[in-house]
Amino acid sequence: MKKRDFHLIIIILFMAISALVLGRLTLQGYSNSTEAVIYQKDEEYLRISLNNPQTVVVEENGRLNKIAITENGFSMLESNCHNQYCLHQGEVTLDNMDQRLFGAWIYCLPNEVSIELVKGE
Amino acid sequence: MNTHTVTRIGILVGAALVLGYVERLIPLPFALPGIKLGLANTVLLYGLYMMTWRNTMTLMVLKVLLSGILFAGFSGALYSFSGGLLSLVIMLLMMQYNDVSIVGVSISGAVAHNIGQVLMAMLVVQTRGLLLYLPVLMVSGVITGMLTGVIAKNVLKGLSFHRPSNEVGILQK
Repeated sequence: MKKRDFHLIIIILFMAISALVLGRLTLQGYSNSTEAVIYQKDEEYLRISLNNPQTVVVEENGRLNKIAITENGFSMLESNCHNQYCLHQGEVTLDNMDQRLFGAWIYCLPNEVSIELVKGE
Repeated sequence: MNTHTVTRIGILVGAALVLGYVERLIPLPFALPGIKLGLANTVLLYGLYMMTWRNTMTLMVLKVLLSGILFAGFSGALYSFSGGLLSLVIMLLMMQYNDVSIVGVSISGAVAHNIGQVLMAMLVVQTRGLLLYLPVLMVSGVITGMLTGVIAKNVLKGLSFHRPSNEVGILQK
């Protein structure tokens, strides 16, 4: 490896850290009460307050996702996608959303479903 | 395109497909979407340094198409294609700088590949959270790019005595 390679690594790491800091500072959503917002593709599908725990089923074109909404947050219960990454992403709560790699989000890319935890003000 | 080139691209596509398959068998200690070693990238690097960019582009498209049919499916192929295209373009640009070695080219390619995949994902779902994930993919690209770059460097060194005399490699960087 040459000197320029190390410069390149430092530049990329610097960009990654700035993107991380900027993202954490600016991308947090807020609303009146703490809510789970479910998106289908890039459109809002459903918005549910955590005061109202329930299981939501999102079904479209044979794509099925079951989302458990509790008083603390939400998690993906079941999905018929092929990679099951959404189940591995675990639970999003107000306590862990700042530490998770996906922040306040759970993604199911194959089924085009995403869920965001929005903090109440 | 002469027989020599066709044969060479065929062998390289085969090698890339096998590496892509072998990679699926290696369990990672963590289940993070979008993060993988990218062993097939060593074949692309070989192509970039030993063939013309057009042939390397053909190699990438064939690899994406066939691995889509065999393993990844249509949507998987779309992600691979957007990642592969951006990665090839960035690697070709980085190769223009004489003081960046093949490891540096590989790192920039791996990071570009991950960014390309996120860009594709942004077309599919709500994007704000994906931007949070981008730094993770950039750092993982640096690590995996370094590994595949070192592998490619040694592969090229080992194969360089097979190089036809009319193709002057830029290996001795």
